[in-house]
Amino acid sequence: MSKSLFKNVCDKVVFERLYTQHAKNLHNFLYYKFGESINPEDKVQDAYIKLWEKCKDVTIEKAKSFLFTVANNKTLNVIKHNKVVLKYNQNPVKNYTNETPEFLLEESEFMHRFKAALEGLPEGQRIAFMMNRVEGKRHKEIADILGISRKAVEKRIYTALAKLREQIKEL
Amino acid sequence: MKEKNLYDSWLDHSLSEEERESLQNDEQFLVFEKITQAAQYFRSPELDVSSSYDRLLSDLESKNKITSWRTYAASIAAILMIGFLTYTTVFSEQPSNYSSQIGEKLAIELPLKSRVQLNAGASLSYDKTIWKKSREVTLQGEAFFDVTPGASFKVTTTDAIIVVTGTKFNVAQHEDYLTVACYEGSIAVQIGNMSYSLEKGQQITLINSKLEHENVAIPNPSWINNKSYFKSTPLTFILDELARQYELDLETDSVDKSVIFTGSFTHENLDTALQSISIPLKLSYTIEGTKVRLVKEN
Repeated sequence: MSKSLFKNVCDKVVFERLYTQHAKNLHNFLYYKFGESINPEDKVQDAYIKLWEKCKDVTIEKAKSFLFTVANNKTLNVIKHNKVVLKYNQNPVKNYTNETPEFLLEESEFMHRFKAALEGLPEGQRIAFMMNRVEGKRHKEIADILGISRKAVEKRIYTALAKLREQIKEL
Repeated sequence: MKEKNLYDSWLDHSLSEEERESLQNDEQFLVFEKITQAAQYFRSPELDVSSSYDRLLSDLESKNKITSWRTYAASIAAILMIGFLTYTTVFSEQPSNYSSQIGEKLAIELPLKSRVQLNAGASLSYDKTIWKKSREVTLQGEAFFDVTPGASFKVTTTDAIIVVTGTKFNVAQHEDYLTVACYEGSIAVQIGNMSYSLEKGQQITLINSKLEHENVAIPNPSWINNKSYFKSTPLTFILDELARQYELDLETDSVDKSVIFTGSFTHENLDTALQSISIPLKLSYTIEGTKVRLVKEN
């Protein structure tokens, strides 16, 4: 009902809803695409500030792609294509204390290779893969966020998975 | 072929329990599971949506500031300049100055029976020699005025000029922070080149250049009763006020000072005051002598 009441996003309620809906996805999108060094949260803020400034010209339907485009462009302006560096989190865990030293050594070697392989993936594949495998999003959802077809999402995830397997296989 | 379908379902998070069972001995599936396990370590840091939204709002406010602020600053500078020139050429006597220390409140009797109470860390000056012709004071900090009826009475602060005839009102002027509240009669407030009039029970605030009208229900400003009350005010201004009421050396590195706070703290007991601020904001504090450390609670 309220949807048709607002034509643009100048209303604070609409603006806040757009924030809760998209901020997190946008943040994670930027993180998986560019890595941690660009400070994704700042870019999210920049994009929303721009949206607010242009609120009269942007319809609610267009707001999401506006945000993604602005954040993407702003980030591209800053980096001169740095190598993507993802951060290895110590926390999401499993307690390894009972493992043998040999196992630990193998494991760290594995993670090392895995990190390199993940960073080496094309951006589009990495984003789809991480959203799917880590955040548990379904194909349709990812397709909506990225504005591409479901088939394309499936393909990206599958290719990413195959490449990762290829690169860690030697162990 | 069947297996390919199973993988598709697995990748779309729609694999049933039996289907999962049937994959359990598949070597490739185990590799995929391991990859998924490993990927968890590279999860994006969690974005705290509500606190980042608050930050966005305060960013948006300070952006608005840039344009309006410059015009204010220019006009204020012009007024000060003209005032200063007139003053230095025409009058030679120094104005009377009063200032209150940290944690101290001061009551001043002005000529012709007007009264002013200064809150902690405030200063007020006026020129005795021309008082009969024009009642003018300059204020930095917070003060409550009780002005006897008569010729116009003028209060000048960094951000505003307040003109009254006879009434009670409160003015607080700190950096980026102005509130003017009217407790009796009516007053005129000039901010930049805009003029506002306030009736009894009305208040105007200008925080980070954002102007807001509010109503006040109490007969006196709360600080008169040794309490500082704030409504929807960024934490940084609350901490500034705390540092005016108590002699302390505040350390707040990890605390986000843009969060909005509504509440009050007492001027009579530092411990109670700190609790009133820290508990609702989920902060914790330590006191060592005059050193107070506020940290985010985990």
